[in-house]
Amino acid sequence: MLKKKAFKVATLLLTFLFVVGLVAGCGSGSGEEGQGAAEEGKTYKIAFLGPLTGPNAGQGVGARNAFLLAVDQANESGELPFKLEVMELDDESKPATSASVAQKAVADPDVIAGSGHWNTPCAEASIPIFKSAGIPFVIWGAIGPSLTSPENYPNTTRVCPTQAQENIPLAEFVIGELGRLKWAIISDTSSYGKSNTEAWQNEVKKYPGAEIVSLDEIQVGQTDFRPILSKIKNLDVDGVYFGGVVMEAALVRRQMVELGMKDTLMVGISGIVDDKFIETAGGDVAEGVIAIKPGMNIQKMEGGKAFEEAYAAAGFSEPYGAYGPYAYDAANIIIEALKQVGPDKAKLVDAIANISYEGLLGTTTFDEVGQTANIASTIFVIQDEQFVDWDDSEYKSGQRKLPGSK
Amino acid sequence: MKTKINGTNGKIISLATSLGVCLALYICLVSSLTAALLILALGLGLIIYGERKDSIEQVYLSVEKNKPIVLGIIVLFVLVLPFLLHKNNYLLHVVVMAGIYAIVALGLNFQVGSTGMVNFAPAALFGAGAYVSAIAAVKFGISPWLGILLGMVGAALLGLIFGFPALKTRGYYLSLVTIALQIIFTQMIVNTAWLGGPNGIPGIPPYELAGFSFKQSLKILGLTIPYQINYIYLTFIFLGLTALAASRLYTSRTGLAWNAIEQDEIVAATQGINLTKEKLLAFALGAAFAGVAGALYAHYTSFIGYEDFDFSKSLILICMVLLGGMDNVSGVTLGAILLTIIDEKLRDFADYRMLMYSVILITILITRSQGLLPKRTRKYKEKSTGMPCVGQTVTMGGESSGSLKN
Amino acid sequence: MELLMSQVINAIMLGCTYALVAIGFSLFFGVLDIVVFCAGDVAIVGAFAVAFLVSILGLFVALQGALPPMIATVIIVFVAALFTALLMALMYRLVIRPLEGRSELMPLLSTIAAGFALREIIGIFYPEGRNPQAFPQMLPEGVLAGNAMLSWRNIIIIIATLLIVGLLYWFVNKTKTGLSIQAVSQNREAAVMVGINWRFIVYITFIIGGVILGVGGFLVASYFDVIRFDMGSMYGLKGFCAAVVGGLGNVYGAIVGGLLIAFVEVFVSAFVPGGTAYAGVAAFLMVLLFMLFKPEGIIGEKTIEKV
Repeated sequence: MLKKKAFKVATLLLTFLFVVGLVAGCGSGSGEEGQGAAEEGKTYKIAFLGPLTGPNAGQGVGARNAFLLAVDQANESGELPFKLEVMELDDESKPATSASVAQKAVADPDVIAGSGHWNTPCAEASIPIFKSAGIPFVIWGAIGPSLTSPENYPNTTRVCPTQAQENIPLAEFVIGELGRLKWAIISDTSSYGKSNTEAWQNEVKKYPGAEIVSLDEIQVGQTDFRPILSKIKNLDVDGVYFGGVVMEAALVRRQMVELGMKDTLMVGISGIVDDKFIETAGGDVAEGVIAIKPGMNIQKMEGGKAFEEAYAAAGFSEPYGAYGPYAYDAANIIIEALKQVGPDKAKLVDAIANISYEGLLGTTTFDEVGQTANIASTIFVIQDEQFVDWDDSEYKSGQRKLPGSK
Repeated sequence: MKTKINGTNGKIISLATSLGVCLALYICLVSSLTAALLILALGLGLIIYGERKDSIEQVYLSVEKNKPIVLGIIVLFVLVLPFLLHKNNYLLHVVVMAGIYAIVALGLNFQVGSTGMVNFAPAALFGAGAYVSAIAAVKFGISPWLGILLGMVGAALLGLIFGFPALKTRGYYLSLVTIALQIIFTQMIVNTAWLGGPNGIPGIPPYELAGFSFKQSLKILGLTIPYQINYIYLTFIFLGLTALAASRLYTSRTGLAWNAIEQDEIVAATQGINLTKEKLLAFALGAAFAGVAGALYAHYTSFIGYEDFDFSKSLILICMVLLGGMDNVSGVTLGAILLTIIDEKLRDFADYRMLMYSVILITILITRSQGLLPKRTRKYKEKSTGMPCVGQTVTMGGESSGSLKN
Repeated sequence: MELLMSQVINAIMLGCTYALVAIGFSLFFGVLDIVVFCAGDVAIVGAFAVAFLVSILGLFVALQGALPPMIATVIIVFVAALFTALLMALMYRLVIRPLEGRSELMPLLSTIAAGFALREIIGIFYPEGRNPQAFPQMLPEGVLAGNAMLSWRNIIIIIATLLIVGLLYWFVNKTKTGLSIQAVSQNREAAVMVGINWRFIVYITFIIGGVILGVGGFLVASYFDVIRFDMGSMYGLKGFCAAVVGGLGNVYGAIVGGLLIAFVEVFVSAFVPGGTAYAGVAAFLMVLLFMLFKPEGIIGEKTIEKV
């Protein structure tokens, strides 16, 4: 009787094995079929990597949408002899996940290029993988300066500026031109925040008389800044430099106003140049905040208008955010290179590295380490619930006064 | 219950079981999420059927009796696996990660499964191993091989510290303490510039053996196999060693003492079990396992950042132990491998990934909270009779573990 | 001196926000002896429900025509709180009840997973859910006696917190249902024996807890003006810490615990040079020390363990 039982188990397991075998057979069979069918009108893939879930998902999803838009437009235009498809990969802002998805991307023979990352550590983890696979990689959002280097060139290029490229012109403007000397820094402890803090500290040192009187590093996701701001209020600073992104920036500005610091200037980097900042902080509260965004002012350019219209028409449920334009240009640079040399990874690497592309951000070319040479930047000031180019603003013309003007 | 297993019968059963498990894992790895979940459900159905008919014990017994066959098949499977997957470095990467997580899960099982002490900080211990080994290699030029040892010792020391609160608290209080330790660990890494801060540690050297770098692809029989093959063998050698150590510990006096503590601390103490020693041992040994895995991980990915060792990673590791089956070495190993695979399969869902993940998790928790292969009833045979499974049955653990009240 | 005063006010306000979530933790723990980890996320769902009613459906503007703003606010918050109450009851039915009698780790993990799911659901299905949302300000603006530190909003939040605790006290001690809740939390078997419908009491507790979390979410969001889908994870964790420091299962302890954690955080970031980055570390270290040396919490009974 027991023998029977044991036999039963054995037969069951063998049947299981058999079933599993069948499933596997079917699985691989259908896979081959799929590949066979794709031969005509071949579809190639571009991998998009970025934070689609987790704390930075707002940045990643907007950029992903802009990226998709660029690829859709290319497919519709029919200028390419093949179809392009975007492989959306979520890096969760974690390097380990980023390495996994990068492996997934390079393992697919149809993937001919990659673009990715908002977090510098994620880019650190995935760049070596793309490099060893010989697939060109364009960074759309990570700003750590070490990412573009002689070792990674020409495989890796970057369309967005490093933190130094953003902070130099900002310092020239607010310290040099406006003459604000006494600074408080608030930035988050992410790699984005930390590298901005470092860059700003370096810049402030260059100006005699300028000083940093307080430095506060906050956690991403922190919501209460009143203790820090109460302290800063007591220090009577000329300006608060914010090195972080929208959520915390909006909270900081709101709480500044609440604590009676409306007349203290707040300046930020491209991470806050996002209509969401004005929307969440409130138009009145955000009035007079200064921020810098590299590249030309997209509202002023023909392409910018067209992009905004196309984005609205595409019906995405999220706004394109601060990094959408970079992702859009990153996608278009890859597409442009594809037009030049076709879907050949090795040729594509060189084509992207040597490209000169006229896009949303102006003319993008890459220097000897793959960093964008397009360092034109625009200073924005928030006026009547809008980011307005400083040169066109009523603040420049003197009709309005910036917070803390003497 | 009298049992007699026919020699050939037993051999067939163990052959079928090991082949079945290996094949099932292989198919999970190469097929889609639906197929993987289907196979998981099928396997679970088989296990439940076995439990109902009481024949699962027969399978266990015959597997134990025919260890050479089972081990032979598993070793063969691991040896052949990279050749089956040589075209797909992504799947090879998944295999390496599954092996690494399995080692951590085996260590975590000492605390959560055997001793019944909740530990919400396994990722911190894993991270300690990774950081110690990485810092040793990058800053002091110490050989990664020695780094494994350093990582192990470093993590074990941290494990001792983490184990200290377990002497004084239990249940929810212990879970809160370990959560606090986990968060303090990640925040301290972010705040310590020497450890790379939020930027992580890039450029961690790979292992080398007599001039052969583990990052080189292997050429065997005209096949070029991605470098992951080296790491698969290395990781699975360590996994084999740790699994061996874990099962030896399970059958040893220490394992029994741990189970006694899990059942009732006070009774255990009255029976002469040194609670302090045993609890700290469970933490230190488990941490040592995690440390080894961390060192392997650091030198495999060549980049580590604090995000990889945060609270959510801890949760995933705990789920591996729980879903595999607490205090069951093969269960925990299977659980870790399966969950790693499922996690990777979910990548196709981009934005919906985390939602799917949590829904799957809740479903498994509710339908089978004792895990895939639950904790077994310990059985001791009398020395006089050669018959297995005869004599007194010492119940240790079983269905529900841990009490509601603290 | 003024700086110190304003920091004290900051700490009290932050403490209130933690306490609101901690009360939920304590309530559930009292009755079921389990930790419902998704309490923070449920509170944020409550805040999003209010934002949905006001910003998207335009309910506040519609009601304002007929009713004074204060009453309109109360109605809207009540609707949102009903929603979270329903959610909490559903949570109990779907992810907690099936795990009753299992190891204590199971409901903890299943509610953590449920919290993840709630966060992602907001992120995916709320319009532009991944981005921060401006929270419609419905509490009156202005300050008391011309003192910038004493805004009406802060005063209302503190009063509302105290009111919630007071109502809860009244309910638990003066009503029959409330007494049944106490009976169940003290001794379930005995409560069942004297004819209390235990299951019904648990549902009632989860519904009350859901209402408190919904109102709490509204107050928290009003204090910060900005909400985001993943705020709940931090609130859940801090709330849990506050509940434990105060004494798990003790509602008044929750307030004390919340204040204590808030004071540590605020004072470390305000008065320790470079302390902001370590504020979280300090708060968790304090929790750790409490666990080691006074595990029953500030207000908690010491239990003697029997075999």
